[in-house]
Amino acid sequence: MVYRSEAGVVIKVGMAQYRVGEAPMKMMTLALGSCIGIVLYDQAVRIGALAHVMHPRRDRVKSNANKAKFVDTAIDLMLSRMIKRGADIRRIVAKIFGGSTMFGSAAGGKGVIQIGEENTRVARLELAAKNIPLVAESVGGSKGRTILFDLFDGSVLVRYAYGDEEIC
Amino acid sequence: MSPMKRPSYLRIDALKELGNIGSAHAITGLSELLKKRIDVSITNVDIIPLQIIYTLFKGPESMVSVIYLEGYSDDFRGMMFLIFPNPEASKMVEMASGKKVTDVNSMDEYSLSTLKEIGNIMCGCYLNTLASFIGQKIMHSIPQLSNDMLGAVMDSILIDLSMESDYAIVLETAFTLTQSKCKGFLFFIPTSESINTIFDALGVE
Repeated sequence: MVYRSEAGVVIKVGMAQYRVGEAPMKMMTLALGSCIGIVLYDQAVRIGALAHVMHPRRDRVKSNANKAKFVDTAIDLMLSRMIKRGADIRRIVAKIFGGSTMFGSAAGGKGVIQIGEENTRVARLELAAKNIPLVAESVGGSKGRTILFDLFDGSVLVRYAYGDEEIC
Repeated sequence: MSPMKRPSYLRIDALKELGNIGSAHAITGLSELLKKRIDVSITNVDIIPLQIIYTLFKGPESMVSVIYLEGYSDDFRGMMFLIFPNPEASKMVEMASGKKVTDVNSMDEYSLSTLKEIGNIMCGCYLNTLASFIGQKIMHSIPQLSNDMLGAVMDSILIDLSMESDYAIVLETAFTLTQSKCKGFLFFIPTSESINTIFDALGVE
């Protein structure tokens, strides 16, 4: 979904989707819980990508047609699209957001509910394996996050429930 | 995306009836707890893309209280959750315990466990009804509560479901407390294998 506001063009990235774009565009994804928002950015050409992924790895999941649903395959997708547009893999940096545990672990819930931590762990691993520096992150805890990614300078505004904000 | 095969109308009707009876028991439970009249507006059963749940509210960022628990037996597993859009949750606590709650964000232990208990009673009644239909004892986990953005709370639940499919059969019941106009939503999502257990038990071809 694309909409125009005073802030310019803002692209909304839904769950299990990813988008690639360039300045002066902004991208946002709403209400990350255990899901992870992966931001990739090349400052020199101001090209960036944002993915809202749900699962750590594609080969573990039965319903896996959509590659944007998984940490490992979404990163590949984003990188190849960014490079096609003129980004250089040597300049690309990453930021990750989300990976919360929304329900307390003490309460007999199955391991699945702890998927946020696993998502975070795999995201860090996958980025390191591709030599992409992780320059900022806001992960874990028990709160939801909405993120707004500005492709002009690569900054990411993180908004929490009840209005707290921070810039990463 | 891998859409599930749509059950026949007969099967959908059978599920709807199950949902109606289950939610009637759940709402009777709540009504007895609060000593208040409650109107049930609709029970809906359909196969929907999981994200559609958000459209019932004001999008993924709307603030809600979600009480979640899981029911399971030998060949049955299903998720139940009770959603109160804010500030409904604090009104519910007030009605159930007589305690004033000003801010959902900073609820004390007592209020939190009151909410969990409401979830426990409603989901428990619903699952018990289901258990008597399928002739199996259904156990359920203890309720868990989260007050946050709807999207953030739901995604940890949806992740589990989306391992199998991007669609699910969702039984949804909306209810309103007659006097205070407090709204709530009760959802039951059986896993795809459990659906067959239910149909077998009901004898629906």
